Formats: sequence, C-alpha cells, structure tokens
Amino acid sequence: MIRPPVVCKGGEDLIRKNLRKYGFFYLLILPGVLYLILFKYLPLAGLTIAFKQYQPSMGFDGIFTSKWVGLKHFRKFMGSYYFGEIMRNTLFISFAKFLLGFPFPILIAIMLNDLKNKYFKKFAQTVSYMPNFMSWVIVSGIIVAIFSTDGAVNNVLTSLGRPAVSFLSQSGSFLKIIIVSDVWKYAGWDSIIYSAAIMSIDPALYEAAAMDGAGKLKQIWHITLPGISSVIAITLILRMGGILEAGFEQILMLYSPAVYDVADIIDTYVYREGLQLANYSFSTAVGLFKSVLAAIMVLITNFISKKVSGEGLW
Amino acid sequence: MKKLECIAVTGALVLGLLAGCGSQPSNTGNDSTGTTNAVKSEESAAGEQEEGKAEGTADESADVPTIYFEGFMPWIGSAGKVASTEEAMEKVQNYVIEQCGVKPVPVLLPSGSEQEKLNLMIADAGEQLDIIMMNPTWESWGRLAENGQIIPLNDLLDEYGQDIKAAFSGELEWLMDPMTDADGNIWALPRALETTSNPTYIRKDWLDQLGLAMPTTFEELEEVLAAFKEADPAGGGQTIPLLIVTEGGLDYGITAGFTEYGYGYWMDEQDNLIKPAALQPGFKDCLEQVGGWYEKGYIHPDSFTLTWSDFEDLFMADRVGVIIGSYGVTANNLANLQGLNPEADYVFADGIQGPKGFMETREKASNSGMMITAKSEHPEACMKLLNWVVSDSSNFLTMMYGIEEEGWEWQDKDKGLYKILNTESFGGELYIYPNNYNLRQIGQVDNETGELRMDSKFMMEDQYRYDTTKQSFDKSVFWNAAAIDAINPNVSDVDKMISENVIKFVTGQRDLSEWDTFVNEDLQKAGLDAYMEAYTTFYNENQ
Repeated sequence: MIRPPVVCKGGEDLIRKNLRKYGFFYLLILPGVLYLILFKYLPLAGLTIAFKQYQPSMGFDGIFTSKWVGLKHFRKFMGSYYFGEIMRNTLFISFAKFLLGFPFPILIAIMLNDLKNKYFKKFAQTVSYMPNFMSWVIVSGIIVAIFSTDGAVNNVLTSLGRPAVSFLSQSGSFLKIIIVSDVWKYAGWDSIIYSAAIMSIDPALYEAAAMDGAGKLKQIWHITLPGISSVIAITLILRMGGILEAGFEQILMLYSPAVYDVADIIDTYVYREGLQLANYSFSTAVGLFKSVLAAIMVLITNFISKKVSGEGLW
Repeated sequence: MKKLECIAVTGALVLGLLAGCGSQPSNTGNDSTGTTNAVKSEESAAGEQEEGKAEGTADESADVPTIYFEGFMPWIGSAGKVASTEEAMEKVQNYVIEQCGVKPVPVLLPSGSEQEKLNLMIADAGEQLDIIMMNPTWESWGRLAENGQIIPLNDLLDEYGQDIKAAFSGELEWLMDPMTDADGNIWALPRALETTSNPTYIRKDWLDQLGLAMPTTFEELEEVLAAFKEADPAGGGQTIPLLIVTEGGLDYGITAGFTEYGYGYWMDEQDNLIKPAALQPGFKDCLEQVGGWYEKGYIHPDSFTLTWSDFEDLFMADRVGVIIGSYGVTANNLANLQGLNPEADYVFADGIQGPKGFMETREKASNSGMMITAKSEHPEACMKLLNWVVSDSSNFLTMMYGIEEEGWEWQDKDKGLYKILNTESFGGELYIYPNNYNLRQIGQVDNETGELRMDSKFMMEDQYRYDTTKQSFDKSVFWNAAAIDAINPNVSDVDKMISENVIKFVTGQRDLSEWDTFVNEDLQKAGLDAYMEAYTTFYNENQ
C-alpha cells in the first residue's frame, strides 16, 4: 500500500504533532540529552583556554576573561625540538600496540570458541579477562618485580652466571615491555566483543563446511572471519580514534629520563610541561591538537573501510 | 502505571543532573581521595566550618575570629597516625584561642589534587580561606598579587608579627628578599632555609668489619666501594656497594666534587652567560668517575629508574653499603632497619672531597611562602596566629602533637628535645606554618633510649652542614619558570636533553667520547643558545 504523503502546514506543526505523538519517548531520552549537553558539550567552551593565557588562580571566570594569545601554545608545542620525537614515539608505540593488540583478541576469541571443555573454557576466559581489571599501578608493580635488576628475570640470569640487565632503563627492552604488557592486559577483555560476534554465526554453516571437507583453518578463514568482519571493521575504526593514546598511565609509571628518547609521548610531555607547572592553557592546546588528529584518523579509516569492506560508522 | 513510574524515574534523573551541576564545592575538599586520616579530618573540619557559619558564630560573638588555613596533613607523616577526635581537636583549638585569641581550622586538601583544589578555593569568593602556602612549582606570589588575591604583609608584620620578623633577621634576613616586590611590599613569609639534604651515608658496621677507615676523598670512597663489592657483606651477591637516590643524588650529592660551583646555574666569565650545571668544566669528569663505578658494578643498575619506595625497600633489605642522595631514605628508616638487624649502622660521611672540593651542593632556599588571602575577613588574626606559632617551639609542637604533657613533652627544652606521648587522639591537623626555622629548633628523642632520633638529628643539625658543602652560584636567584617561559617557551627542551643524556653517559648507553658532540651539536640543536640567553636575561633583570 502506498501511503499518502504527510502534508504539514509548517515545521512548527510537525514538531507539535511529533511531541504529542512521541512525547513520552522524548521524555525518556531527556536525561541522556541533558547529560550530553551539560557534561559533554558545555565544557567544550573551556577549549578556548587553548588560545588564551589562562592561570588556574583566575578560577572559572578566567576561562572567559583571560588574555587572548592566539596560537602561542600550539607554536610552543610544535616549535619544541622534541615535537618530532614525541610524535614519533606516540605514533610508534600506538601503532605497535595496535598491530599486535588488534589481531590478538580476535585470535583469542576464535581459540576460546573452539574449546570443547566448557570448564577449561570458562577458566581460560576468566584468566584472560582478569588483567583488564588491574590498574596500571598494579601491573607496573608486577613488571618491576619481573624486570628490575632485582627481579625474577635477572635472578635467573645471575644464577646462570650472566650479568644483570637493567631492562627498564634500556630503550629497546623498555619498548618491548611496554608493548607486550599492554597487549597482555587488554587482549582478553577485548576478545569479548568478537566472542559475542562469533556466537551469532549460524552453526549450520560450520556443519555444512565440515561436510564439504573444510578443516578448522578453512572454516575460520571462510566462515568465522567473514562472519565477524563488520565487528572487526567497526572496532578498527573506533580504535583509530584512540590511536594517539599511547598509554599515558603505563608509561608514566615505568619510564625514566634514561628512556625518554623512546618513551616520551604526547601525554607524558603534557603532564610534565603543562600539568605539573599548572600551565593548563598549554595542556588544553596539546589536547585539542591530539583530538583534531584523532578525528582526522577516524574519518580516514572510516572512508577506507567503506571503500574496502562496505562497512563504516556512517 | 508503568508510564507513571517511567516519568517519575526520568524526572528524578533530570533533577539529579541539575542538582549535581548546581552544587557548590565545599572548601574542605570532601571529594578527596586522600588518606583516611585526611578525609576523616576534612569531614570534621567541614562540620566545624558549617557550624561556625551557621552560628553566626559562637566564636564571633565572643570576639574570637576563626581562621581557615591550608592544612599540611599529607606532609607530616611523622605526626599523628589517626584522625583527631572531636574532643581532642576542640581542646587544642581552645588552647590556641586562650593563647592568641584565634581559632584555627585546617582545610585539608585532597591528596593528589591539592593544587587544583587550592586554586579553585582561592578563586572562589564564596569559600572562606585565610592562610595559604604556595609550593613554588604550583604558583608564585607574584601572580596572586597581580590578581589581587593576596595582601601585602608589611603593616601586619609590624603590628602583629614581631616574632616572625625576629626569626627572619640577621643571617636569615635575606630570605625575606624573594618574598618582596620592587616596591618593598612583602607578599609572603619564608618557609625554607638553605639545606644540605643530599648527604652520603656509609654502613659503619661494614667499614669496621672490613677494617676500612671513613673515606675523605673520591679515591678512598672508591676503595670502600670496591671492598664492599668484593667482600659482599650482605651475602649471596646481594650487596649494593652504592645506591644513588635518583638524579638528585648525582646532581646535588656528587657533582660539586668535580665542579667549581656545584649543581646549579652558573655564569661563565668568558662570555657572561648563565649556563646549566652540566656545562661547567669538570662535569664530564664527574660522569666519567660515576660511569666507571657503574661499569664496575658498584652502583645499583636501577638507581635512575627506581621510585622512592623502591629505594626504601632496598635500604630495608639490609643490602646497601653507601647511599648518596635525599636523606630521608636513610634517616627515616634506620631505626626500622635496626629493629631487624641491631648491628646495622650508618654514619654520616661528611666532607668527602673531589678534585674541586666538597662533593655535596646545598639546596637553595626556595621561594615557597605563607600568604594571607585578600578575601580573609581577619588578616590581623592570621598574622597573630602565624606569629604565635613561630614565637615559641612549644606552640609549634602543640599544633603538631596536641597539648603539652598530653601529646608530647619536653625532655630538654633548652636543647629543643621532646618526646611524643600520645598520638591516638590528636592527629596533628593543626600543623601550620611548616618551616625549617621552627623544625631546626626541635628534635624528637626516642622514647626508650632518650637519644635524638636520626631523622630529627638531620633536621636539627646535619641539614645545615654549611662548612662541608658547596654553595651553588645561583644560591640567591629564584628562577621563575613562568617568567623564563615568557622569554623562551622551549627552555625545557635543553633541560630534558641534559637529564636524559647524563643518565645515558653514566649507564654507558652513550659513550663519553661523544660528550663534545652532545654539547656542541645536540644541545645546540635543542636551542642551547636561546636557553642561555633566556636565563641570562632573567638573571640580569632580577639581580
């Protein structure tokens, strides 16, 4: 049946009609909308301090009354000798964590899905999810206990007559520890979404493939991975939005001047230069810079994803 | 019915949101994530404040002004271990009222975000806050004075602050200079004297065990380190011949032995430029010496990556032979270590010399100070209270430990020796105006032995070993980070490069043969010339 077009006298009537018809639903979303406006959009006004010389002692009013300095803080950041190194470190650590950390949860999800013993499956899931609930303070403590010169690894080395190695103050080993520990902490938890996606795949497809002689690997390649491709695409895009989040807490708790050359990222730089010295304008400017870059990354990834797989956020 | 319930829940959510936005922050920081003691104390302080305001107040009616001061609980670990009971707090407050006519109320800031909370409180006209202390890395009085948020103290000092003036006179009079502007207005009261806080402690029982004498030169110190390494007195290869406590231990504890001015900015007479410590002649020799010790395995390999608690753990593990750097690791923990190993004994290795003299550089007096806010309704009462605290050590101790003879008692008042009696009911929240001047006058003795505790001895005596340490060139210059940043916003690049590379040179990650390349090429690329120009400009303008 073809519906007759809705004829409205004007926008106002349409709004009124909608309100009358769906008023209850609008009321239900009101808290959420208010929350977004109050806590997500209104604070955006604070971004203006990135272009001002704001001092914390000026209080709230200072956000609006402090002196306008234009791009001064952006110039300071980009004019720093270390700008290149900090960007390189941030991107390198992020991409390294991404390259290792993105496929690993998928692998875990596939492996967990194929476990036959349900008790072992539950045990494996619990063990793999657990690190996610430990704060970086605890994980850092574990890392230090393992890799410090008095730690477990060095105890083994020295008992074998080898000299102790200061893993946490050497650039190469520090990077490896940072990346691997990050993957270890999050891989299990990140696999949940893929496990859920795998569960939604029709089991009949696997049965048919098995009857046709497809082995496990072929089933994974031709059924499981295509079955969860849309989820993979969306998590990929979302993850690209955080690509400049290289792991502030983790690095702050483990790094030292000896490894600044590989470990100093945007966030640790901002922490030292901005927050510790109460230079909030500078911190905000760098934060804004990061957000703009992250938004660009999301747009690019979304575009590529749509081109390649047809899946995208919008 | 369900619809009604939904509407009710929605309404409650909306109201909750709006109420959350509209609520005023309390000036006691009850959203604190600080220590249990602090939180508990904050709550009681908040209660008192509310009471006081609502009453209009009882104290006001009796002409007793109530003064809210920034509390220092997070910094007084050696004081009370519990939050004060209401009665204990009231008792001390009443005592203070009797003594100086002012009721002190502490405002304890949430641990970890003290600075943010303090800034908000200073800026909020609705918050009552009378006395604040500024850590120089947080804020300088200059900015607060410029914003009209603090008041000049000259008249108040003249009228109510005679004891403070007397305390900071004579040899210490110069400490008032950095608190004073070009027009002679005094904006803050000084807190920190020049200290020698990065000493060398040596394990005396190990020295005796190995028949070694106390070293007086770097060569002798190296012999001691070699002997400790060889003899392994801790056993099982666990001996740490030398523990350098962070970069500060290297900077302040050692470099002076190789350089003319010790650690600090210095002026090169050849070009009249202010330069960083690492560019002093002899600094490279220092790195060579320390790097050699590192290579020989005398220095704990993680000395430059460990946290404070790691240093304390290593110390308490009874493994450390020589420790250079912040005194607290040794002084605060020796009594505990001796509880585990009564023979363990560290002595102060005073006056070890290198080719250029004493190895330790004094830490400069800072421009941290106590200020009175412009919104204080009773500035004269603020000064009365601060003056009363400084006027007699008993008053200072009362604010920290409670009523005399109850919370603490003098063992020998003339010598400034006291005992702690009870820390169960009063938690020390009234500790106000912490400063080296007062702390230098008093020392806690061990209740059992009656001997001065090692940490107290350090605060009273060892921290002021001016005869056996070196004073930096910039001893009287208070570098203002904001002002230097205004001249050159990227000076921190050079600091970062030096900090990063000094450790690399010491730990052998970078060969010392590259030192000249580092100075002449790397630092130049990071902006060394502009850096020196900025510091020289500031120095010339502020001398």
